[in-house]
Formats: sequence, structure tokens, C-alpha cells
Amino acid sequence: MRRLLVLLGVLMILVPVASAAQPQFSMTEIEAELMCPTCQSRLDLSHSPAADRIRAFVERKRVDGWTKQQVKDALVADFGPSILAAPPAAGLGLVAWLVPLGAVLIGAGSVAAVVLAWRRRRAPGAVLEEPAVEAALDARIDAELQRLGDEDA
Amino acid sequence: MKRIVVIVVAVLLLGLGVVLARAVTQSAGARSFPADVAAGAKPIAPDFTLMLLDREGTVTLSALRGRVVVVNFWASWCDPCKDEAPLIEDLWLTEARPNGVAIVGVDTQDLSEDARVFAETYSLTYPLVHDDGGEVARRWGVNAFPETFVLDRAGRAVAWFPGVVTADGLREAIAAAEASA
Repeated sequence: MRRLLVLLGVLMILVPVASAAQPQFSMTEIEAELMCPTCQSRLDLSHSPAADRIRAFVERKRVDGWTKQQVKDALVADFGPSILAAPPAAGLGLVAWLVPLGAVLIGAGSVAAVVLAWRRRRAPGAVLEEPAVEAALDARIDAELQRLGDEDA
Repeated sequence: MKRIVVIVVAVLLLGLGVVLARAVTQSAGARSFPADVAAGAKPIAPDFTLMLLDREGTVTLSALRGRVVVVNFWASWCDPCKDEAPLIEDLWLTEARPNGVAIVGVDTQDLSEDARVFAETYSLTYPLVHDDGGEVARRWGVNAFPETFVLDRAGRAVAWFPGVVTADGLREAIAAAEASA
């Protein structure tokens, strides 16, 4: 029984230590979410000296068991928010999210307005006058067909 | 309905215009600083207060008025900075500090952890600060490393060195800054 308790105690100490040091994200995943500060391209597409240093830093912290957010926070503290590939949804970064969203809403609204107007025009009860020119054309075609029929006969 | 759509579109376009105009004027203003220095216009250097890299405390540029100041922008990943750092350290120990000339190394676009290792490797003793977010480098129009500016006693930039400085070049610029009226 005592042995079991000791074993349990050792496990209780070792399990959290082991899980804390487990990498919690992949390099591929985070590299796509970061920018190279000197070349303005994504970190996974850059091989500048600064990008290599950042990659080494991220790898060190990843192995130490840091979360992705902890790594990002540390990088933002040193490089500012421009190190993130997607701007934060706060402050000026919010504009980058709101402008496309606004554009999509306006686009959708415009399409809806056009469709509504079009459907209203085609609604039952609304009598559309046929243009006079079409009636005249119909009469002429009828006359021509009649004439051709007479000639064949 | 139509009027509301027009108003929303106008507001969005106006907002976009303001953001773009702000970005363009900011970057144009920053770029013109080194160009003004090179043209001999002696512009006042943008002020900053930055945390010291390797110890507690801050450095405020405007607090150094009355002294000639050398501001050196560097980063630990920059290879030419490795050649330049010992040269600046030597000048700091032998000529600048004894004559009351201030040297400030601004570490920018860099991991502060790596920068501390760099400072230790090259045994740098002149004040080193860390430019969080690279905002100071942007305001100074720095886009390559290293870059060095020399300011006169009134805080006006009298010399700009894009790239690695030479000891003689820096000595001449310091002498010019001391003579600047």
C-alpha cells in the first residue's frame, strides 16, 4: 500500500512536468501566423537573418512548453503588432477587419436592393405594355409567312 | 434605403481615406529625416524614451540636450553590426565618455533576449536601449542596419551614417557636432 502511494506521488509530480514541456503547437502552424519584421513577408516564406532568429526563438519556447499565445505576446512586446500576419481586432487593427466587412455588407445590401427592385417590377398584376414596335414586327412576320404559304400553295 | 447606403459608403470611404493619408504622411515624414540630415538641414531629432536593455531604467533623448549625442541603430541579427559594435565601444571608452559625448545604442526590430546576448558577447558598456515595436526606428526613417546619427548640443542631427561607421568618420562628425552653432 505504501509503495502504491509513493508511486502515485511520483506520478503526480512527473505527469504535470512532462505535459508542461510538451510542445503545444507546430512550427508550421505558427510560422504562417507571423511576419518577418525586415522583409514584410510571412515568416514561413522568409529566410532573412531576422526571420531565422525569430524561428530559433519560437522553437526554443515551443520546446519549453510555451503556448502559441505566450510566444506571440513575447514577439509583439519586442516587435510590435506588425509581427502578426493577421492584425489584432483592436485599435487601428480593427479598421483592417471592419473595412472588408463593411464592403461585403454594402455589396450584399446592393445585390439585395437590386433583386428586390427587379422582383417588384415583375410582380403579378403589374401590366407591362408591349412595345408597339414588337406588335408591328409580329404583324409583318405573320404577313410574310402568309405570303410564303400562299406562294408554296 | 438608398440614402442610408450612400451615407454608409461615404463614411467607409472617408475612414479608409483618413487611414491611408495617415499612413502615407507618417512614412513620408519618417523617410525625410535622414534625407534632411544628409542635405545639411540639421533637423531636430525625434525624441524618445526607451527602456535600457541590460539594466533597470530608461534613456530620454531630450534629457541629453547640452551634450553631443551619437545614436546608433543596431540589431543582434545584423552581421555588419558585429564589426561595428567593438569599434563604437572602443571610441566610447577612449574618447566619447572622457569628453562628455553620449552614445546610445538603439536595438530595434530584434528580440531583446538575443540583444542582451549580443551586448554580453561584445562587452558593450555604452547605454543600450530596446526599441519596443520598432516605433523609434520608423520615426527616424531607419530601414537598414546599422545606421548612426550624430546630434549637436541642441539635439539637431548633423551627420548620418547609413551602414557601418569608421572611427575617423565618427570622430569627424563628433567634431562637427561640437562646433555646430
